[in-house]
Amino acid sequence: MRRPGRQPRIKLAAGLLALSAAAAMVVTTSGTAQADSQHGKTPKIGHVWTIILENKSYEATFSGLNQNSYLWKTLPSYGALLTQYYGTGHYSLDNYLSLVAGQAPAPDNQNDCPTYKNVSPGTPAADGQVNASSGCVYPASTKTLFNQLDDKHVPWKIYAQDMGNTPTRENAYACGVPGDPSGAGVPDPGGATPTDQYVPKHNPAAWFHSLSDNPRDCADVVPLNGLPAAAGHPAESGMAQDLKSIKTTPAFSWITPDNCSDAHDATCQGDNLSGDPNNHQGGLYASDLFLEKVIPEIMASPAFQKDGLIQIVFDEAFPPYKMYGNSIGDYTGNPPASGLNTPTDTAQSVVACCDELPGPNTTQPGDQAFGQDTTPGGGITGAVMISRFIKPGSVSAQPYNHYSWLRSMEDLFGVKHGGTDGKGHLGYAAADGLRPFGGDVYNNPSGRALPPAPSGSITYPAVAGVTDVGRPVIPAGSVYAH
Amino acid sequence: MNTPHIAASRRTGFFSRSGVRRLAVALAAVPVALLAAGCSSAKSSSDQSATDVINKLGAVPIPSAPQTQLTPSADESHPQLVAVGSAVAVTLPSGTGTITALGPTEDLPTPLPATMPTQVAGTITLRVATKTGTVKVTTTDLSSRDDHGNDIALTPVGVAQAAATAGGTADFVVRGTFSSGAAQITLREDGHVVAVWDFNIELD
Repeated sequence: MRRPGRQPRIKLAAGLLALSAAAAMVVTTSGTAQADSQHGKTPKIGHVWTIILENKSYEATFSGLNQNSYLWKTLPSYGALLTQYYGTGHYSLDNYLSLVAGQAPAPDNQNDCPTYKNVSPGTPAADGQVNASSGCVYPASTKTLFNQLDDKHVPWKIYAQDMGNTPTRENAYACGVPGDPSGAGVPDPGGATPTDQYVPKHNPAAWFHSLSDNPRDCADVVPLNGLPAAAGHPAESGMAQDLKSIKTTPAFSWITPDNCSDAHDATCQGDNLSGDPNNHQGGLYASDLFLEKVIPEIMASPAFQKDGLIQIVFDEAFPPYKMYGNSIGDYTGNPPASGLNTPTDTAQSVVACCDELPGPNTTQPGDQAFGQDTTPGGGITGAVMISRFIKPGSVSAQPYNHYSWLRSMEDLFGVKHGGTDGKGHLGYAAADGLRPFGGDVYNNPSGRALPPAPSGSITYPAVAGVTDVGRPVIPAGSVYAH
Repeated sequence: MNTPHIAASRRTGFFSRSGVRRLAVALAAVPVALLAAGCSSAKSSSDQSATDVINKLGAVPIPSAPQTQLTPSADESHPQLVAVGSAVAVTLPSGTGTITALGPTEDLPTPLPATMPTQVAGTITLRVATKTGTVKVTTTDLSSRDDHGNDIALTPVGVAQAAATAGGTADFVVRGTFSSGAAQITLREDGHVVAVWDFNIELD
């Protein structure tokens, strides 16, 4: 059923779209679309930006509880909301290692590595894993997505906000490492300071010798706002400058906001981009301020408009709130039978999907977090993706995790050789039957730009097949019902 | 579980009049930017390809930042649940104004130890700004609980209450010991919940 008053506004929006396109035609003639029109195939996405946020359960982020309207409400209406996106472990660092190298959690990285030291013994294990009974920095033989992109001559960059603000904490000219990991290692700063809110545990490059030992790779690991020249090091541009032209925009950009902007710190040690020096509110409020700044920057770039994909993911889920809407979770005067007086259920923050395996170094990827006995994974975080190849307002209930993400990126950038399975997939990204992002995500293969639509305008169910999209549910009144 | 929420709202909804206006701005921005690039000698053939795609497929609309959120209103019958740092406009029998919970400010050891503690002492500030009458906050109005359901004892830093009269402000600071994880602080008036602020304690 059509909602009164909706259609005229759609027509107005369509008219504006046409006007907009017409304006662009002043300077050019029509060109060739880059989209693959075959249903179910990954379209020809040429540029990816992955923004990784911190420590929130799906319910914390996407239920309107936390002053983050831009992420939970606005952005899903411009892209796809993945309601069943999972972290792979607890706490932070192991998730980053799963994302970029397919490595399973190990004891020290589950503890976020307070000491920056090499993995031991560092010997190969089955399924592309590495034996890591202690330590956190993987040997040069452990490859990452970034090494794979190097081999394919695909330009990439890691942008890490605040990295190098305090040079004695981390070396911005050397992949942001906090020091030499050999021997007993060095202290790894786990928290932010008022002037430097970068933490190495949220920068994947610092944890692999295959990157940190290579100056050419480290030249692509830069502070978000760039890096001035220093002795032996040329200046490096920041993201805003790189976005000005397709030629200067990396095909793959990994964005690590600082410990405030990534929603990690509840109260920020330093600036939260609010413009108010007395405002140090962190959490999802701060990450919204960050996203409100960088998402329009990225989307206005030629590279994004041509063939871009933005991904907003979280590393791990943190306990969900029992509180919904304006209910009062801590009010203990409810009738006993109401169930409202019980403590928060944390199960959602330690579950796993996608047949996640624990790996050789721990039986509990979720590190028995939050007092739970059985913790197979990092919990449900949800994720948002935006692209001209995604219908605005899409929702997918298909389970994905960080290994799915890695496999998706390897496939997207055409990495087809090597890896653990000989088909270009590293570690557990090579697991049999692991599903990469499919037609439930890339559901607008023509690439035709569409106006925003309410989240849930088209919803894909979870299905068992690796390539099966399932039958989407399109509610009456949806723009896609026509 | 995890029912997706409908995103269209009065404030951010695309189908609202203001939403259409914002879309107009967003849609106009991309071609204008590319047009500007096209007029410069620096425009590359690769950037031309972006313009070509926009010509054929349209410009992807860009979401603007939401407008400043309205301050939620609460009274004894209509409590509000918000994130720490948020102001709540309160209407109480004694007066009206806003109350904001700030913090917690954690007393982390210096220098930070290699292994972080699982608990930390800290303070939460209740900032009162009174519009009419008098608005006060006392220790007995406050309670706190973590995500395991454990009560967090709060003790005042200094006097056991803060009050502000019309046009005035006052801060009321309480101290507690917080465990890593999620928690909340609740403000009551005459035993009725008025506001709940949730927050996380990150000690990793």
